[in-house]
Amino acid sequence: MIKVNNVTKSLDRTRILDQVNFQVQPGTITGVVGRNGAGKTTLLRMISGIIHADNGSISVDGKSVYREPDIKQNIVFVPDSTDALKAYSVKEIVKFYKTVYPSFDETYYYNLLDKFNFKKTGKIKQMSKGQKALFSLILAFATNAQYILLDEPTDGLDVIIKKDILQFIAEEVAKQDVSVIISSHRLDELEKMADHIVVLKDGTVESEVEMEELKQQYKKVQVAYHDAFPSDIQEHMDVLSQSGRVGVVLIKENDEENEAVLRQYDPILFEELPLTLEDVFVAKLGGDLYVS
Amino acid sequence: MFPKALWMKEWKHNVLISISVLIVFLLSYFLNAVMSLDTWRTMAEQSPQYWEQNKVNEINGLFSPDVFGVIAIGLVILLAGFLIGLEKSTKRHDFSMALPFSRQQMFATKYVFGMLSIVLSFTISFWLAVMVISQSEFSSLLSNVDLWEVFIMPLAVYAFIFAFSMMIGSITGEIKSQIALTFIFLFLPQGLFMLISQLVYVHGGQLNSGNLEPVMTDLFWFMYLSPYMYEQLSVWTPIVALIVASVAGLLLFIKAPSEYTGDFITFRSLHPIFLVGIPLCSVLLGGMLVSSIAPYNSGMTIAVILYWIGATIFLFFSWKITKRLLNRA
Repeated sequence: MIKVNNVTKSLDRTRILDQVNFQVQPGTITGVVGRNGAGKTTLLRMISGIIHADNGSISVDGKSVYREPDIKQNIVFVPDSTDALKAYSVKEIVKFYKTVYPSFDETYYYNLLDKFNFKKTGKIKQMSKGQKALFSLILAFATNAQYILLDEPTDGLDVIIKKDILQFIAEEVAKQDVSVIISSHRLDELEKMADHIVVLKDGTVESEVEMEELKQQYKKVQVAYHDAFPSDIQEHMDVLSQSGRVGVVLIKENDEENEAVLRQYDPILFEELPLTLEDVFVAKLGGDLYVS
Repeated sequence: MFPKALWMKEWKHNVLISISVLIVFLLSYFLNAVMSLDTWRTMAEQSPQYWEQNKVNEINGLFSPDVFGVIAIGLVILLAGFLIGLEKSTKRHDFSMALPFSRQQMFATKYVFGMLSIVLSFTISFWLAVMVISQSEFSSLLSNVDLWEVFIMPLAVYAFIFAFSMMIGSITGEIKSQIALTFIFLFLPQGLFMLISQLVYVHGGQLNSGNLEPVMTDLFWFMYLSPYMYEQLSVWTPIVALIVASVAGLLLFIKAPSEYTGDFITFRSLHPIFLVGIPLCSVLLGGMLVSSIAPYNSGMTIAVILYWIGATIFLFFSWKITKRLLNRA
């Protein structure tokens, strides 16, 4: 289990992370979401032992990644850039990974290369951006590490390769006893596969929820009125969108008080819509969290 | 202490620069010896008297690295830059730091890799040159050279400069600042002395360099590349400096904050020193350069005015540059 305990980090006197706490259970996918600059990458870099926390502790299976770096044989950090691999060839990197990670499964690695039509020779730098991203995931999963940390794994990739990557992650987690932490602001992607969501806002964990529970906590309602959309609804509730007399509002599942307010203006339409993760986070975190 | 994976990584990224070091030492000693034999034969045949007078200088000159020594120093600094600074300048730093090895292991592997490249390249080249001479008709000339001294003195300095650059690499955030600061700090004592002397001189005084003799000789590392200076120098100076730089380099590498890689300096606590030090040295340099254009027979007043004009101009620009360097994160 990964335990992040009261972790605080400042960069150039700016507090990036403040008293961050959360846990990653074995065999789960944890999504770390937050707006740009929320500290997602900093958090992943700390878990993988690249940078140190100012205060607090991070342990992996009870061991500190700083004091006992051997534990990192069970952690693979996949950054958003594959530049570090570009000097290697497909064969050289296997040799290197086999030396670093004794559990590296070469057969599995080559099988996946076949599955995704990768050449088994040549330099990694000759691959396309999407191929490099997929290749670095294949490498990470082939290590048989227990924890894989993915920093914006689909950032800047085309739809097809993105789909391949997300499907690959979901399949591998289902097959192996591996925990994956994914930092992303693509909520639609996380929604499909994360079991657990950690929301970072202004350097703190704004909320930490199980996906199933989250969807049961809120409901999305479309309402339309005869006259103008009531201003106190706009002021006191999370209005996801509003156009003329019609609005879409997010309310808590058992929030009878707000539901009564919506109904007191005699709506000509009151309809519950399917809720997405994006609805919840845009309402709760605001602005540009969702970036497509 | 030296995991195989780290060796593989350093080999992959630094083998070319290591080969360059070997080539320079081979050119400096082995090839130079082979070529010198021909020159000496011609000299001995065509100008026997000249040869008799100069043969001791010739054999000593062969073991004086000269230009190749300066190139070798450049490559040694570049080697340290490739081992630490280049990794920090690229995404390879995160990749390395995420590997399951301690920072001690990482530094030790880089250090030993670089040091072995230097020591082995130098040793092989040097003793090949000695072998070439000893197998020739000029073998008796070797008795005019203290082989141990001409071997250990430059080697100790190359090793020290490498360790020093590794230490600087541990506090800097990228290769350019590592290389620039290595050069600056290697010659800082002599440079500061020169700048302060000029400040005092322009204002009518004279700095007594008598007490600073060790700074101008023992700590002026190029001296160790010339066999003619060895009588004044002790091999223990670079060896002690090597040990200090190595230990400091290791400790700084362990403590270096990775979050500031890519910056000029990674240790924020050093910023005030650079914020004052760079403009201060620039003031002295600007004053020295501009006052040097004062006419020879002009009075002291003109020189002083020019000195402070130069100092002010350099202060303005160096302050701007320093702030940009330190705040660019």
